[in-house]
Amino acid sequence: MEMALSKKMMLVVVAVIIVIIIAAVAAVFLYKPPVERKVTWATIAGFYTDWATKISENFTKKTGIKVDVIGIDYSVMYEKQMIELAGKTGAYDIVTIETMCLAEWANAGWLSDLDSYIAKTPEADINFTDILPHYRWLLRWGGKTYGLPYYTYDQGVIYRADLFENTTIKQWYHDWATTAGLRDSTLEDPVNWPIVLTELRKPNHQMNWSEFENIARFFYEEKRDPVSYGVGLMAGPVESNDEWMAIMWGLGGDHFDSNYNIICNASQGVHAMEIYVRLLKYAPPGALASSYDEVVAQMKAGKIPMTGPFYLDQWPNAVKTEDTIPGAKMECATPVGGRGYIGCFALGIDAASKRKDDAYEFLKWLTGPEGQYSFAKGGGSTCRKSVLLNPEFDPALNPATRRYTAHYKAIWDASQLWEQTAPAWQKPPRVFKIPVAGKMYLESKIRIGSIAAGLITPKGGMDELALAYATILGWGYPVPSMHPPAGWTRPPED
Amino acid sequence: MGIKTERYMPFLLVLPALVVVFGLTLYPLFHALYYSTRNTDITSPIPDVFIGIDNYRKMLNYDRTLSDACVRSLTFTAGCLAIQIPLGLGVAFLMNRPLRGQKIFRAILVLPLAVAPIAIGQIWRMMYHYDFGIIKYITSSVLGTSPNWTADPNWAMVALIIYDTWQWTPFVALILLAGLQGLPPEPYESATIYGASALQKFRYITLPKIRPLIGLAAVFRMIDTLKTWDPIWAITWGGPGQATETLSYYLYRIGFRYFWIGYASAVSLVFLYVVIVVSTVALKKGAKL
Repeated sequence: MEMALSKKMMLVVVAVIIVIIIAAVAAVFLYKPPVERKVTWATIAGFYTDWATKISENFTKKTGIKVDVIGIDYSVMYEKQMIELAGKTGAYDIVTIETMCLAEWANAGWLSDLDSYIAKTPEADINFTDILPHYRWLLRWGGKTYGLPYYTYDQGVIYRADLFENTTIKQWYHDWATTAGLRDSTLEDPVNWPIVLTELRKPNHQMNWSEFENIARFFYEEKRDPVSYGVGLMAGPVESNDEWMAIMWGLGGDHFDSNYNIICNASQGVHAMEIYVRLLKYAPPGALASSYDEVVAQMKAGKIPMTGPFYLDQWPNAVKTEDTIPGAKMECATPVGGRGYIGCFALGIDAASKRKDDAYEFLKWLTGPEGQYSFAKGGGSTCRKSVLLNPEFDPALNPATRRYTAHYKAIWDASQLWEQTAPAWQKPPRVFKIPVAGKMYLESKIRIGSIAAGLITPKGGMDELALAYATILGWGYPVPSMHPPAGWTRPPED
Repeated sequence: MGIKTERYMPFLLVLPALVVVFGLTLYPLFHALYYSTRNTDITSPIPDVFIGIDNYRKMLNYDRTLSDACVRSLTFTAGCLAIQIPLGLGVAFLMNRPLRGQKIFRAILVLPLAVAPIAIGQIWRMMYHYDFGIIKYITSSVLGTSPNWTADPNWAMVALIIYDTWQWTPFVALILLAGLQGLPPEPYESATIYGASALQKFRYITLPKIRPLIGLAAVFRMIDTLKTWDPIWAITWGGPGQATETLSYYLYRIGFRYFWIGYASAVSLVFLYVVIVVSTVALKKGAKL
């Protein structure tokens, strides 16, 4: 009896097991789980990533597309992205592009053309003409758009307004500037604007570099004033070339002329470097090892009254000087000489991405009016006119926002200066259109660094830079030419 | 086990190791050799072509930056060896004495070896900064003045050598300490009986005995300093200008910033051969000492 029962029991157990196995197999083969919509975005670690992770959650709620934000240290972000792009791995659906690299990446076929996506997007979602005009030039190559901007680091000037408004210091400046022998007579040669040598004016685009240099020298030499040095410069190995470019563009120079002849070693380029080297005398001694973080630290420590050509997105950091220096009042303005380095972080889609449509959804949202508004609320430097000029972010109307958005007007005005004063062929400057611009940009850091460190004269260094440009361009071997050789493919006009 | 199995078993056993060696060493080496004969630039949409020995010709005839970088590499290596070997020997002598708290001292000594150069290099960059750095503060307090360590082209290389010495002298000291602890006591007892001074004991007993280990430590450090890249990247970025751009940093620049893979392969192969030849000769010399 017991035996019979146990046999029955065994049969039941076996039957149950068989049913479970069949059910499991059926589940595996028949059940199709919902496909997870996910995109990966390579971006800069730190503030950018924290913010991006937070804001992308809103996007996921809205669309169901999960965003995997991959924060990479800025110093190696380009190498890492380029290795994945060149390998066509599709590891990053969305890549972060610096304006100087766009032509190189587009020319290599690494980026997807966004025009077809933009054409299909309702105007309210993309509002393409709302993007600052110079980014619309910078992010196009060969007649196609390859990136949409989300973070600007255009340059202007940040300064201690309390010092420039102080009547005692203004009087000291007047006395100093009118004393014969104190001023350098060569500085009286006006370049763009009439030079004012006897009145301490706040720096902005209507001030030329000669006047700026005079002010830096005053603060450095006039020991009665509360700062020890005249100007903060990012003359370390990373950003000195951006400062030089700003001065050079302000003087009317460029890397290439309209016919792509190399002219960085022409008079304006050399003169810009001479000004830069002279300004270095009035900067803290650590300038040659400094980046923007160190300049902000010098400002917060009360060592400097003003920056040189400086990234306006650093305003939320620089304004903290008001917390560290009693009585300090910070302001920012358009770049001295009328030109600053122009650049932004833009988003593009990896041509090897298998999720291009979803990637574009995120890209469109983040760089669009809604995403950029959210970005501005989080303290980001937006690239859209509607956000820059939004009364909600105007410190005059909403003082609570001043510490995060007081630089917006300077960004807008600087953008307008490029738009209104640059000749058509310089929109953008030719260098941005050349597919090896990324390499030339790196090369310029080395040469400018050598000149700044006194290893070579401004003229000699600029000649070396021109030669390096020609070598990178492959214009003749072993002795390169400064002019495009016959057969060189001119970058497409747009 | 059959005769056939016995014959093939050794080969089967070393096969995994062979696969690893071939996959991770020989294949990349031959791949580099292949690329060194082409004008590969991975950022260019134009397909690369065979250019024979042009990369090598360019390297030897026209690349002044490369020759400057070689000189800087040798300067860095010579500077590091000249300081680290005597200093390491001194530290090894100190650690070889019965001192109180010696275990703690040893643990502290090896700490620099345990940290990643890329991370600690960032800290050193800030410590060297003229406006905020503690090193400038200390040198100014002690000497009344301070070099502008990483911003002055004449001092930037010195700054890197000091950093490298801080991190790697303990390594030299540990090697030499092992040698000192293995020395027999008898020769020292005899020397004491014959009235030899401490200096004479060092000169005629200790030094000859540990000379092979000094040679070994020097070879290890030489190979390592020749390929040092990470602290340079973290502290000076090869600057000011190119004042600290060594051969390995230059290779990184042309290979992973400019992506001139063809030319970078040619330079790296020559670099590899030079390191192999120099280290082989040095090891042989060291063994004979």
